[in-house]
Amino acid sequence: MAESAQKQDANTEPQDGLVEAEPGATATPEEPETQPTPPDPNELPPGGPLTSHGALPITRASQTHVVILAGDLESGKTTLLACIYEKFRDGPFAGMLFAGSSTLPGFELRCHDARVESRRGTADTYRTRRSGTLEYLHLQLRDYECIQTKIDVLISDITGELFEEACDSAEVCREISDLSRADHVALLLDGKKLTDSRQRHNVLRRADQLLRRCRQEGLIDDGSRIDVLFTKWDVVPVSDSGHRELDFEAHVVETLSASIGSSVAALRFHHIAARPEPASTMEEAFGVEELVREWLQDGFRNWPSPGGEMSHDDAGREMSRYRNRRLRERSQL
Amino acid sequence: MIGHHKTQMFLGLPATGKSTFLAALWHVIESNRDGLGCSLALEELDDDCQYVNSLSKEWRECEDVARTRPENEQTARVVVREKSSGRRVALRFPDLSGETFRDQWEKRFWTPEYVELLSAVSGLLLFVHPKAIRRGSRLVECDDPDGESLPDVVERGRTPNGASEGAVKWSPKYTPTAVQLVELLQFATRKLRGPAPCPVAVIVSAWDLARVDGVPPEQWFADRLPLLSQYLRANPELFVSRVFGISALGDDLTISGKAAELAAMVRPSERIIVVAPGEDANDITAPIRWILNQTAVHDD
Repeated sequence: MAESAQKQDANTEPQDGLVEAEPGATATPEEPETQPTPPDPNELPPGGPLTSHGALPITRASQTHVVILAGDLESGKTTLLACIYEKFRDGPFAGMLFAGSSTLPGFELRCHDARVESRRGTADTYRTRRSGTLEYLHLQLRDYECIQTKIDVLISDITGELFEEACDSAEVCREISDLSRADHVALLLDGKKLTDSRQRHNVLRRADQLLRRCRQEGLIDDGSRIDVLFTKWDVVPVSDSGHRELDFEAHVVETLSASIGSSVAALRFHHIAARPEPASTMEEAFGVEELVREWLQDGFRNWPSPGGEMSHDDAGREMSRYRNRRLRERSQL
Repeated sequence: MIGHHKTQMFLGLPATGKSTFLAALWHVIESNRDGLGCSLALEELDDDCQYVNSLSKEWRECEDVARTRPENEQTARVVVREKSSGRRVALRFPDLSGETFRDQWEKRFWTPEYVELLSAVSGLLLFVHPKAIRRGSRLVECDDPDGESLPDVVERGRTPNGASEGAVKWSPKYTPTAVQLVELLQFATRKLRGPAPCPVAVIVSAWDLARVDGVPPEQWFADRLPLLSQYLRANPELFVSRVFGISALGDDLTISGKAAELAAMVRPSERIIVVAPGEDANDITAPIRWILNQTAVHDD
């Protein structure tokens, strides 16, 4: 056998392959027919979401982007997560190739209700169940030319129930300790509710309160990157000027920027429509590719970004960037 | 001098043409007097050829080759000589049932025998059948390419007041084909012991049904199974792959008169269709030979 031959050792993780999550550290997708069975050496990993403990082999083996999605019930967290996966099912996305996943069944469970096989009349989204710890889905990606090493991404969504409780209670907020090590925290604001004059203030107050509480508890700090996502952007009405405009948007940006803009490494605002209404002319996954590209281009938490120190945005500079981005969007409509 | 058998495993979900391929392959290697392009010449028969002979008999008679059942899994063995290099190679082809692979995805279980096979694998032939691809189309897409129009699906799912009734909960069996195959390959990487990267010959079987004018097999594969195509492409350290469009039957036997037409051919090998750059149009041994060439550098 030539010396250059590369063998895959049975006793270690597959060479350059997916790292096996720790046994017993996954949450099995919903399978009503499955009965508990004793441990069996011929069992394969269940492929459900990973706890933070179960994901340790991944985070230890490579620099991993950890993304946590937070927001009200039905703000679009799981829909966004499913959308990212479905776009990779369609082909390369955000300049990256799909290189593997330790949680394919977990993704599949979350995508099913929006597929033909579900026999539903309209697309729906799996409701994330409340559990004691955050659970992550995993993607391994690689640049299109396969020049760079593979990138691991762990994405979790905080249930809407936990989100509300965390707003109310410091004790509950502290339970979401993973926030302190997330590379990206995405706060989803339901665009549909923001168009409702009676609901929009509550949306903003909860978001503002959560961010303040997280800062107070040390879960977000000057190393944190916060992405505020205005979801369901397809339902935002088109103004007389021909552009989609949310008259409450500027107030949201101003409020949140004033609250924590100077306390975090980055506070960014995005419009997304992961799964527009069937009648909408907006394309599927609107705004999602830009969001994912930003996540992948950012450095890792507490690591210097390439070329220099991590920047600190104050509210004024972020407002300028926000305005410039809006101008670019308008020119593309 | 020949070393141990080189194991090339056929990997694929049920009804993807693995046994039909083996039937045609065995005929071509064993008969090898057809005179048509065949890059491997028979050197030695295995002591027991009953299984492959029975498969080939059905193939020659233009019958649908019986699907392999889990309880009937067999391994074909043969010693061949590469005509181009003169090299003698002992090959074995475990013919596993599609259920063996489907169970890995659905039941998250594999057998010690399968693990042992993986440890000996020097190459994989990964089968996909154009009529057996579950795409996992989204409700937002216009049509259901699985054959049923979206309006029909929607109407069947509605109650008189328009709500969804009879919605189906998720089960692993509804998973798109590409996702299942990615997972099978991910599982395989846990136990492969051969030199890396492992050669993977992607066989688009029943190519006569799949081919679209001007679309080569590799493009067809990337278009129909993009997640799997990306996975192979993004892991060059693990896999080196090539796509072959192959029709072992030669045509759709369900079409009236086709079986008789094919059976009338003096040389059964002429039925076979092989499409891949630089390959003979009838040489079904092409993917076998390609795998051998990928691993030849490690043989010394």
